[in-house]
Amino acid sequence: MRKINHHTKGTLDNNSSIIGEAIIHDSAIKHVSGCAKYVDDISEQEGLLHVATGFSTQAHAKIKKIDLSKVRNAKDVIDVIISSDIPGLNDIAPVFDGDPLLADQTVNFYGQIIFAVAALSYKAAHKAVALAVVEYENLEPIIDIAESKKKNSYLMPPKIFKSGDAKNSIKKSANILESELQIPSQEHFYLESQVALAVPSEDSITIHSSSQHPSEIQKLVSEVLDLPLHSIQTEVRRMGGAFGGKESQAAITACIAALFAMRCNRPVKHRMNRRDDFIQTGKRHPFLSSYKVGFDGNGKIEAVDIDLYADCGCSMDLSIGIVQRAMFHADNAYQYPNVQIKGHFCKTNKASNTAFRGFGGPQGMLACESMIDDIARKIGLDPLIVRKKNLYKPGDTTPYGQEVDENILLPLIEKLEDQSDYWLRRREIIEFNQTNEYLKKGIALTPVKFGISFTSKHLNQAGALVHIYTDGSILLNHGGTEMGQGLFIKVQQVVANAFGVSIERVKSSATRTDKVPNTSPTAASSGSDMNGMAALDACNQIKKKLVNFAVSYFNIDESSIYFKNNHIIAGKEKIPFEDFINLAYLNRIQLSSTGYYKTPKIWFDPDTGKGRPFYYFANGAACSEVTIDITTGQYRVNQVDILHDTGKSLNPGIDIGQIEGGFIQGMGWLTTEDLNWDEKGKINCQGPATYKIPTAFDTPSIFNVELYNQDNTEETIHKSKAVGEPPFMLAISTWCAIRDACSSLSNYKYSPSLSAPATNESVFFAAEDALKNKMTS
Amino acid sequence: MKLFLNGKCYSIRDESFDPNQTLLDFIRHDCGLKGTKEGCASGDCGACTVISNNEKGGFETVNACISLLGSFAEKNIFTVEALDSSTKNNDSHQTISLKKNQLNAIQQSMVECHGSQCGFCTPGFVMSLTCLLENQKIYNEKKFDLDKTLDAISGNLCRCTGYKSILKAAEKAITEKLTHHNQNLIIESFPKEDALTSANKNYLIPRNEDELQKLLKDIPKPEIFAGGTDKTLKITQDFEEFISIIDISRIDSLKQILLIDDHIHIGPCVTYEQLEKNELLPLKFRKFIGQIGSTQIRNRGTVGGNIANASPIADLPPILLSWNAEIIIKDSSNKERMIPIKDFYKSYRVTSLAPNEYISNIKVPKESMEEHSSFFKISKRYEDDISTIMMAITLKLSNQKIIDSKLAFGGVAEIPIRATKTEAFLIDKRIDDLSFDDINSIIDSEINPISDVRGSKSYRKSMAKNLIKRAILEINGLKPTDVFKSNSIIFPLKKSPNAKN
Repeated sequence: MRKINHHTKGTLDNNSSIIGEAIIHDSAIKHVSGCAKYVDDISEQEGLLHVATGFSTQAHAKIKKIDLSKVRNAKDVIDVIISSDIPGLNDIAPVFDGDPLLADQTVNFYGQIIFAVAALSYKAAHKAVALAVVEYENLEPIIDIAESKKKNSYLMPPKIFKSGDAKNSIKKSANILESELQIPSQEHFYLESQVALAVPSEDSITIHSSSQHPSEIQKLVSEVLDLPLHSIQTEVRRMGGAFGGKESQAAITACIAALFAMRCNRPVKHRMNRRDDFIQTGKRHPFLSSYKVGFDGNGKIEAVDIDLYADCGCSMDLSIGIVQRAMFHADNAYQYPNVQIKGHFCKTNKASNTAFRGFGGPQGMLACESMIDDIARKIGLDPLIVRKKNLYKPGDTTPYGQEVDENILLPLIEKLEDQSDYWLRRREIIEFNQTNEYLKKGIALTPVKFGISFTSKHLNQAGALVHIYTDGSILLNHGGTEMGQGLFIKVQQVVANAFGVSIERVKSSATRTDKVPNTSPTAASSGSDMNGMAALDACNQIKKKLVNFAVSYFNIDESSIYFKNNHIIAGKEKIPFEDFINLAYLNRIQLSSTGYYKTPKIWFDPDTGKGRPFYYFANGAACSEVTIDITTGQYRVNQVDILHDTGKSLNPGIDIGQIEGGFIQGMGWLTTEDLNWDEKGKINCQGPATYKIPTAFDTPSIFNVELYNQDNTEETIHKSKAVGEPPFMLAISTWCAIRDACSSLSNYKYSPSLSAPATNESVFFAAEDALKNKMTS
Repeated sequence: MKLFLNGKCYSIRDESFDPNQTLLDFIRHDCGLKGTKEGCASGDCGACTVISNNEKGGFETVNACISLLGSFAEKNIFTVEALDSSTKNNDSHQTISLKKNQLNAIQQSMVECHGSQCGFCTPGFVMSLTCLLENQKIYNEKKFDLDKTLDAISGNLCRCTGYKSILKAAEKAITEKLTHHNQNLIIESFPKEDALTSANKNYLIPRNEDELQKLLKDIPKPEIFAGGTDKTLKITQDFEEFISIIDISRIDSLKQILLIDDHIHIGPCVTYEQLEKNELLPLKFRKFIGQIGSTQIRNRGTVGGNIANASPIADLPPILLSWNAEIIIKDSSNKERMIPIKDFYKSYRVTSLAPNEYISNIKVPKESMEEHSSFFKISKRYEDDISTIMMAITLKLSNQKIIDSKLAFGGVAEIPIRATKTEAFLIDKRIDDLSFDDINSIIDSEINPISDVRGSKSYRKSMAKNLIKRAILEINGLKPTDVFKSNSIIFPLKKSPNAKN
């Protein structure tokens, strides 16, 4: 068997415009016309049961008594379950044990599910839940990081990355600073709340789930029901947003629905209402960062010693990876010659915190960027100068031993510096601040360098399944899920390009565990990198057979065979794709193939904290300008300029959407999204009335987003780069700009403490802080 | 009860009618139209936005999740399915008028501008923007207006796009398609003789105050609804069920804004939207109304509801307090009494309304509306948020001397309050020679806010002081500085090639 001629492939790439084209989202027309179906939109079958759950009203307690007699007797109630009704394993933890599906004896957070009700209607299920009587014996809750530190409440021992001798080098530095920063939590607020529909059939159960990780839904349902994996299928057509919140925690609704489906032999839907979703599911990890830094008189960092305390909630969930990723990004884009980064896993009585776009990266980076600002104020330099001075140069090594080899950070920043007119605006802003008493402006330009690959090596694999039918239409399936990020259209582009056909010929089908098995979550921004490659592998295998067939059928050399413009060109023959496919079928050529991909080059030794955890880095920078009102703390983000590295973009329309959306979501995290808990550990924000994500008004009126078009130096799918998470962290520039505006009140001599998120209230007090410290200095 | 949904007439029989049913539930479950989504069931996200016809012959957007079905008796509702010809139905009774294209201008342009990602919020945005576009056609507003557009989608949340692509889509559609005379939505009307006074024995729609008073007499535990933007949450969030609901939103005499004998009379069923548009009211006030809730909420939420709901953080009571408004209350036997709004609130969420009473009017001295007034609302988010603190101040000046002062707050006590000690202090002082230190210590002594999810006690106290100072300085001639109107510094700038540091 001969390989596909490189010339053939090369020609195709050069002539095809499908890669790099801003093709619309595969479901765009369905979205706007209301035809796109989400799990709750699937036609309700006869006998469908609806689920509601009863949850703990205490953050930490022993369950003394559960009386569900009134619940069971309530109108339209069909079944009620508690932990002892689970036939298999009562644990739906993704990595380590510790996440019971239904609480057993002890409750560890306010909102933990204790029992579930299946009823004929959604309303009946919820009304029945309210009739339960649960008695608790309260235990002392640990509600935040400070308390967990005090009480030594950790889920596991800390992790350390080390390079050089941080502690001693700091002592020798000319300047030393130390500070702490509270880094906020965040609710995912996907518009579609958690939902699953379980449909039993002859010998299996199909779960229609809104999940980023169908294979894990399959696994956990199988464990809970004590059935083999081949008896469970998960199907995910699309999610109404996910952002990490449906990576591990989509399993709750799926497992409960499946359990009822098995017990009652009826289809069962479990859709959390918005309040239950707020209360019962985990959020972004709040962090406390505590750093000590030594630097010279020019702001060059000599040594950093940083502790990152993560509030993991009551169990591990995915915290091991999240805390590690925070540690991997506590350097952001800067060289720390001597460094120690320590990550702590605080155990508190909160819903187990989970994946959220950036997966710890934003927390690590905010800690870093806040420190850079502090250094700049201390020595009286513009923060941008300090940022550039400490930037990684090609050949530098990260604290975890990976070389930064691309030459991209500095040129990218300099280009943005120029495009955004940073220095001219800086001067104008200083003048503005001198002439305005109540309004103050701030500006900040911050970079992002984000590592791409799952840090759990085994997750870096993907599978695909490609069928060509005899009419020349192509059906594509892969392990990746569509949550709005445009994965399906990107992989369709890869497949259409491989066969030289127009995009309409390729259709993606819903992600299903019985089509492509043992898949990884669609997470870590890896969706198109991995599934694109797996799909290409499948295409190449089919193409290999088609080319071999054409070589023998037309009796020509393979170098004169092309797949182009919906045709096969075989020497002098030009045959419509569908005719050629039909011909191949009649000649018994296999027109279907699986495909597989595993990310090369990556490794990491958790014991030494060294390795190459990332295949490559995605980079970017953003410049934000804000105006604050120091009398009230109210503010407006006036302008944002972004330059972002997506390698050679597969689809600039989709990628720019990811950047804009990621940025505004990150801005929400650091501005209006103020998630808080009361002193007993009860979450105060239980819905959008008290939890405020940005509206269209908050989007800056000048919002320039440009792609930094430079091919990925690694062999990724058509030289593109991942784009899902990195832009989220560009929004750190907004927080730094607000702090810059506050700092102007001290003539930029003082780095005011600005708690995050920068609500009006925090900005008001930060401005007061800066004013106070102007007077004393 | 009958209504038109997407041009098709639906009749719901009495025995199967549940007064607690929401419009969203009817659309999704009874009609099986799944394009309208539930995102929050509390009127905060807009995924359930549908279009209804208003009384002025135009369209308005509605949060279907917190609107009761009964309130749409004899009205027209349009869902996203009405816009798409692929759902065309040959039923001659169904008179959805459709364009030749499958998608309308907004939909088409949303597709072209990558305006959807996960798509869950998208139908809501499409409906809000379609409503804007159709109204601009009706009212002959020829241009794309960013502020208007932002306002139209102020009640729609999107978590994926960051909104830029949606705004771009709106601009494109409105700029290019405003002159196209495609009638997407046709309003059907019911024959006059069909007009009914009640949709159902448990959902009652009195046409006038006589009928209302009779119902108040007859029904043991009446629940009065107007827009229901807050009260419906009891149904959708707490799963409560009301036995019988009296919907007063169709009573004309309660929906008027009139000038009678130096007083502005505002009916309790006047919506925020009406307040915003009514020229009898001061411009400053009308502009302020635009900061309350979202477009969807302002289309339904009423003055009477905001007052009677008795929330300490309601937006209108502080303003009405600063205007010395009076509440006119009637009972089931048409007995009328009048109470100054400052005496209306008794304690947390308790008013002086008796069970058989209703607010029949809010009377504001025109004179007080003409004084120097300032209103400030501080909330975590500018749009569609509940206030952390709200302040309204009205000062009467004579030769720079303060001769009358009314200062009111929301969010600093268990009820909306007047700061009477501070008011007294201000009397007879010169506006340009006030000691803010004195004012601060007086206000500090008379308000006692709490710390809660929306803000801390110390922030609220600081804001009370700063907002008074701000208002006084502005009355005194300081140019108002509205941070939300601030621009990027780049406007006066010209790019200079030597602009490196």
